[in-house]
Amino acid sequence: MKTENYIPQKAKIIKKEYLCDDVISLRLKVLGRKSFSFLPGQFVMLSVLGFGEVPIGITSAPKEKRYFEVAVRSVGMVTKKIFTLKEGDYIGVGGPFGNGFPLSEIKGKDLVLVAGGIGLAPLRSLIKHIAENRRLVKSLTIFNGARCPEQLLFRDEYSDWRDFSEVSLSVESCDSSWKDCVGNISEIFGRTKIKRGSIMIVCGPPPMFDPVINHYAGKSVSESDLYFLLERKMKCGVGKCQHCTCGELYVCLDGPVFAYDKIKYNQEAFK
Amino acid sequence: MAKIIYDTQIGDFLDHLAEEYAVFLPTENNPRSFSAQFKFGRYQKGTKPILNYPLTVLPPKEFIFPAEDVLFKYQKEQIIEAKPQKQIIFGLSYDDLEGIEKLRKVFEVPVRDKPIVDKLENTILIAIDRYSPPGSISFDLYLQEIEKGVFVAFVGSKKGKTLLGKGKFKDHKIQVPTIIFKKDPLLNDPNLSMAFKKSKDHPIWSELSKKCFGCGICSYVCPLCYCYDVKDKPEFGAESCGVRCRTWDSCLLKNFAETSNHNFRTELKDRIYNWYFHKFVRMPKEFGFSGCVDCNRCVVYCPAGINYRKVLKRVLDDYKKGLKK
Repeated sequence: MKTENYIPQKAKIIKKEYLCDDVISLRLKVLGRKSFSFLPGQFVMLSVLGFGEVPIGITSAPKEKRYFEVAVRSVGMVTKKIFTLKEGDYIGVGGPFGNGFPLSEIKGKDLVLVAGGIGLAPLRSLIKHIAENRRLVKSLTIFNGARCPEQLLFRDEYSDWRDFSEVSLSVESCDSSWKDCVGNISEIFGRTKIKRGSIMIVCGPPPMFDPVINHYAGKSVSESDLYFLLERKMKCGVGKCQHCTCGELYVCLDGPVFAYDKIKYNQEAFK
Repeated sequence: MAKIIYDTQIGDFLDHLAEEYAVFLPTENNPRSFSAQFKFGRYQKGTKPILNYPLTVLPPKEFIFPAEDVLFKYQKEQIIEAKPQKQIIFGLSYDDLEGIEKLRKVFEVPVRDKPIVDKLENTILIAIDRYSPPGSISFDLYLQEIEKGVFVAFVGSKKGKTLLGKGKFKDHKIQVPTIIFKKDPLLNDPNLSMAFKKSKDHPIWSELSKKCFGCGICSYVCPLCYCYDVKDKPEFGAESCGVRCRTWDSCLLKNFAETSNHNFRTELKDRIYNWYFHKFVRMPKEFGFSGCVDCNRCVVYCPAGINYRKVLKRVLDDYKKGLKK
């Protein structure tokens, strides 16, 4: 049986980059470990002694095991402190936790990823995984929305992604130089047709879920092929602290990735 | 043959135990305290132990899962794991023993929680009650009071057996009465879990939310509420040193299900429902038992006078009425 002692492993920040004004990307190397294995869609607990810990999704490709990357948005005390850390500083790491994306279910299928804001961060791990295993899926479509062009994360990677996927962007506010969709992400849904029988994975703020369900669930995407990554503020990652429960489910153990048909009637999942 | 010990000999037994272990037992509270009369406290050698007490304000979970438990200390970058002390919890009632047993399961599966399992492994449980010892619940020693001041010892473990040598237990040929501990039959109702699962839209939750203060007392005094928060406490004046603590939390508190941009249970009625849902749906599904040992503490200490038995009864009755329709 798995044992958890809640002692963070020491990791070194080997790279720090700003993705936008309030989001940074950190590349972390866990000390004393040759490899750090994880699945796309899993999360870690990042901890700064004296400040606390927070659950954060992994953004890098699982093939690279010497280090991993995370994207952190500055919102609370711990994440603000993480912002002040520099390359060469140390940070605590717990995990990885959670089930990750349904890698065996997407095999050979048309895959559509729907990202809102920082929801792109965990999906990037999957995108990079597909970049290295292009035959994994039949096709890849990425819908990515943000408040404004500056808030679109990993902007300098989109041209690489377009080599093996179709990337559609939308922003809620912009100036006249913006050529893509304007409005919330559901603007893209009307403009871009997806193939029947596609698998869709959605990661973003809860207000984004309803438009996705209304537009796709049980229509071009079957309910069992539509996945949501749910965000909760876990304090343990191992199903004890109760902060992430949705009815009978634990986001940290049973999720964070859930098929829509499994949570459709769960009144706490989409609250 | 039964091993017998008399109330007058228990102080001496405890004195011997206290030489080797930190012993905790029911003690009388400060008489000026407005809350409970009794609480678990450290045994002081030579003091007269309390062998009959109605209910302690906090259940003995506080020695396994303390209100504030140090997970580790840190000094600059160095982390020092907390080590559990060898302890005895003496004088647990039947239901408190059951509470500890269930808490053990909660922290053992599906992931083993090392700090708590370590504490349990370093803890000896000695229960006292008038009921016959439980068959399915583990203990080290169980003292059944068969008449006033006369206790029959039942051994539940190797450790418990060696402890017999520390007291003046004597062999006697006597008939030990069988007294079965009975819970409120509501708690054994086979429909209980399904009734709560289907009762999200029952009007009772919004009715309760008008009375309930959302203060979380019921969680703190419950032997089987175990949700928690994790906090770092730096030392003032030496901020590179401090401790990371696990602290009691309550799902009734407003910010319990808050994330960086959303609160998933803003309404008190949803939080009250979740409190019951955890005990009577999620825990039975996860562990095969409910999260209530019927100890009555949440009834005694609820400032709003909410009684879970009334809630259970109404939810069950309405569910059964619905089935008949």
